[in-house]
Amino acid sequence: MRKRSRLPRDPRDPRALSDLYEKDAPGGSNAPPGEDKDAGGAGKARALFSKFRTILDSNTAILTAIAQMERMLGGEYIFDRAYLEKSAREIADLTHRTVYAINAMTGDAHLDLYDRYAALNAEVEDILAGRRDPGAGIPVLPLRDIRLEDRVLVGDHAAALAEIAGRLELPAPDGFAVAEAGWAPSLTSGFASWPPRPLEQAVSGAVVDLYVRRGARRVLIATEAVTPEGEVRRTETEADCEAGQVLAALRQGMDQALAAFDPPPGDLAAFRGHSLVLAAPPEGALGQIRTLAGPEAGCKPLLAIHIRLNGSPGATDSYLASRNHPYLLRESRIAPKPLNKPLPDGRIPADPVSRAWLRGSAVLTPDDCAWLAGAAMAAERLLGEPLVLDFAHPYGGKPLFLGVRPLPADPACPADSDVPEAGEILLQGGTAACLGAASGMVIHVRENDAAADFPYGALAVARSASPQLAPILKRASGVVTELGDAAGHLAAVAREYRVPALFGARGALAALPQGALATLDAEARTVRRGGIAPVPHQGWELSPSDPEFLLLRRLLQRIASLTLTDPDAKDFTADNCRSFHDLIHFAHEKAVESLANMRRAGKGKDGAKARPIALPVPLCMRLLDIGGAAAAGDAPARIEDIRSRPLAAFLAGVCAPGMWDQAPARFGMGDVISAMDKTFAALSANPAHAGENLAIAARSYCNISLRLGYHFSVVDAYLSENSSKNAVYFRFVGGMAPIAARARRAQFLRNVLAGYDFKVETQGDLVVARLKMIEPARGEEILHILGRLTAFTRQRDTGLLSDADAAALETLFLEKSGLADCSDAKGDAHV
Amino acid sequence: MLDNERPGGEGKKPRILVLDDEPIVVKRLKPAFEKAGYETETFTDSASALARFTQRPFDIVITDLKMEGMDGMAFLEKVKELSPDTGCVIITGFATLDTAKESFHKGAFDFVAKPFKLADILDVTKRLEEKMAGRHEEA
Repeated sequence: MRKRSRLPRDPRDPRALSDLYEKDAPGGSNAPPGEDKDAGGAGKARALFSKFRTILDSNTAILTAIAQMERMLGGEYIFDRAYLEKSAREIADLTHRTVYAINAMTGDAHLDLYDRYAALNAEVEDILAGRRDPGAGIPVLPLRDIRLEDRVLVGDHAAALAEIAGRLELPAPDGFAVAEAGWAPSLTSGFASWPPRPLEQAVSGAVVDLYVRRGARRVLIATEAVTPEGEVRRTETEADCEAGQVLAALRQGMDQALAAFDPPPGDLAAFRGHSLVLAAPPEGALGQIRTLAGPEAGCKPLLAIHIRLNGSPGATDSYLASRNHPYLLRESRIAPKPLNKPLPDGRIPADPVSRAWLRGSAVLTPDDCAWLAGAAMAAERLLGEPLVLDFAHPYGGKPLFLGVRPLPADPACPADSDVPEAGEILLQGGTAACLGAASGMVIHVRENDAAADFPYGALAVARSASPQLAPILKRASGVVTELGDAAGHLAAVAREYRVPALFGARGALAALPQGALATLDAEARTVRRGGIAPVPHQGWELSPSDPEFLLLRRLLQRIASLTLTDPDAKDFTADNCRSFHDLIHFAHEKAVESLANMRRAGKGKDGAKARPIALPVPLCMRLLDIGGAAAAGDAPARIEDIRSRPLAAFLAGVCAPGMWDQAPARFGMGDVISAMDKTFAALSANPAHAGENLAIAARSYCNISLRLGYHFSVVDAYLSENSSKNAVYFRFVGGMAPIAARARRAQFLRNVLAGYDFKVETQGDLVVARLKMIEPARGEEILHILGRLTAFTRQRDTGLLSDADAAALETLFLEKSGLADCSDAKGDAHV
Repeated sequence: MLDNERPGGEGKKPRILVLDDEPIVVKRLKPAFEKAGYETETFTDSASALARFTQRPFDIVITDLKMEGMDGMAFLEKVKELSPDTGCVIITGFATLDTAKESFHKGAFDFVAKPFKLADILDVTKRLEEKMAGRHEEA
């Protein structure tokens, strides 16, 4: 109890809440957790079930609130700060209830969750109060750890470059940012001593990392000084990748930037400073892209690329290209160059490329231009405004982005705020998952298509809004699907990348043929023939430059991100909970474990009697009914006695004809050898736990733990009439075969589950799949399939000797499930 | 107010005043209403909004409820005193049955809880516009 006593006695104080919860618990008492007066009887079980239901209800309410917050990113809703404050605090309160309930269930076995809750809640309150980020004290941040919402710490330039590199995976050099906290001691003290020890240590570490791990020998350093009014002066320089030289260059850069303001001595404390240090790219060409060319293009909506070879300042090539896929070149001006000087692709201008043609002296090929334009437009979509992007094109290498900043508006070219005129309507209907307009060539995509093959800026059209399409959204200018809605995982990804998305538009594949140029207007829920890419402008849309957008992103980082996914992993601990979502997930797993252990240890003496379920297949399962899961009675429950909606659907799938293959599994020597350690572990385990199959269920909920041979699977589902609360979680791991065969089985599961719009993660033989916000009938169908899969995949890994075996297994499963003719419904349809 | 300036009068769109103390709300609503053809003015404090309304009444007022100084309910009362024909819509993040009842009692046309879809507020405004146009036709 020591840790809990540290918390303040406020409305969220667990000691204050405990009274409420104890009174709420049917059959409970006001006694402290674990000291129930009715410890020997059914009252204890009812109290535990009550706490478990509290956890379930809180989890459901939290996930619903998180989903609503995430939808705000799509631009469809008008929201304000008050809404964000209210939502964040409601989620915090519910999380606290969950932390209390798991401790009440387990006799305070997870008191460290209170500390994590208190720390996370303090971070959320800091964000809401506009106080500095928890990372505000860190002097140096690696570029890979920075996102747009960190701009207050590291400055706009570093945050924007890190955002396009991190979120879109656009190529950029490794590097680090010297944050505001790194410069603050020196500016405050008027550079009384340089370098301050913490900055020196942090810069030294980051420089060594760049030198040793990344092979950097030179670095590019950009430093900016910011006045209290927000005016910025920026300097750029280079240095050897050595700590002393980098520190000296940082100081020199800041002195030069400050000199532009000529501040009186002693006034430096009001200034802020940021620096960005990047590994210098290899020799090659340097270029710049403006996503809106401006007067250079006669104010037409074209994109401009300029590039010159290192050491040839006068010989700049200029290109004007369209702003939508396939980014056709409209004009190019190529500066003359020596015929024998190498170009970035490794060839010289005089190299023959065909019988009649030479390479020529253009630095970029049309394909290079299209790639650069597509990448730049993806960055513009993400950041929500026209941009200037600096890049390097090393000899023999790929382009690297070195900087990104907003393109200042040119008064000579007034912004056109309307969606560009396009042709007739090709498609109408569906639900807007992310607002905005996009124009590009239509490409039909399937779940397993490689994202790298998808051209930047094309319009993706698919049968289903499958989470497997998420990587493609880093490149697509827009996405249209025939199935799916704004609540699914792909919709959240579209909002994250700010890709206009229209889901559930029936007939999209037929209406939008492959290769057609089309314009999507998600707000109007239409796709028209032809069109040009719209120019972002400051309109009613939610922009990444809006403080509320960044506030929402920062809150979601602390609230919604899920980093703990594998309960069997060593890092599945309270200390590793990085968000409220992690906390409730951890608490839920421990609550299920607690109920399962109680049944095993107590054997019913505490009232937690688990009733056998009589199944027509050789599967021993018991039911722990926490409220309304089955018709009353002490006899084994028959399937028709099951009242739990998700459990009934799952068991119907388990018992479906053809799924329960009772033929002996094919074992090879490799299977036996690979299973020897597991056999030993199985033998040494508590015999009472071996073969334990348990369903903890209520009317709308079930958690099913199955141990079938060496396979272990968990299904956790909530299924009610309220779609927004429904969710299904599936975990499958283990097997007797070597890891390669088990990985094939994981791939088989992944393929089947992805066809049902699950968000699937696999690691080795572990498969974790999630699905939320589903219609109840769809949820039943999905649980039925999970039941079939669970039965069907028993010992199937031992037969998976090749990828062909895995494909055959998938076909067999679909055939036996009567789904073979429905592959079209799983997203395979192409027009 | 001249006939041709009234809602429905010779096709001229109504003038809208938006009052919300959160800049993000007025920043997003102004271009949305303007795109829909309305002449729109926005304010983040009720005193300035009232001064402007007194100077020249608006056809439609969209106001937040909970604000520093004069709150949305008081602003609604003032607007109705000055211009009973002005249609009012309340937008609030603190919707309760009591506040909804009170705002209808004081003459609000509709009561919209935040967060709301842009399409919804445009729909409410359109309905209000149609109602006002019908009223003028009857008169």
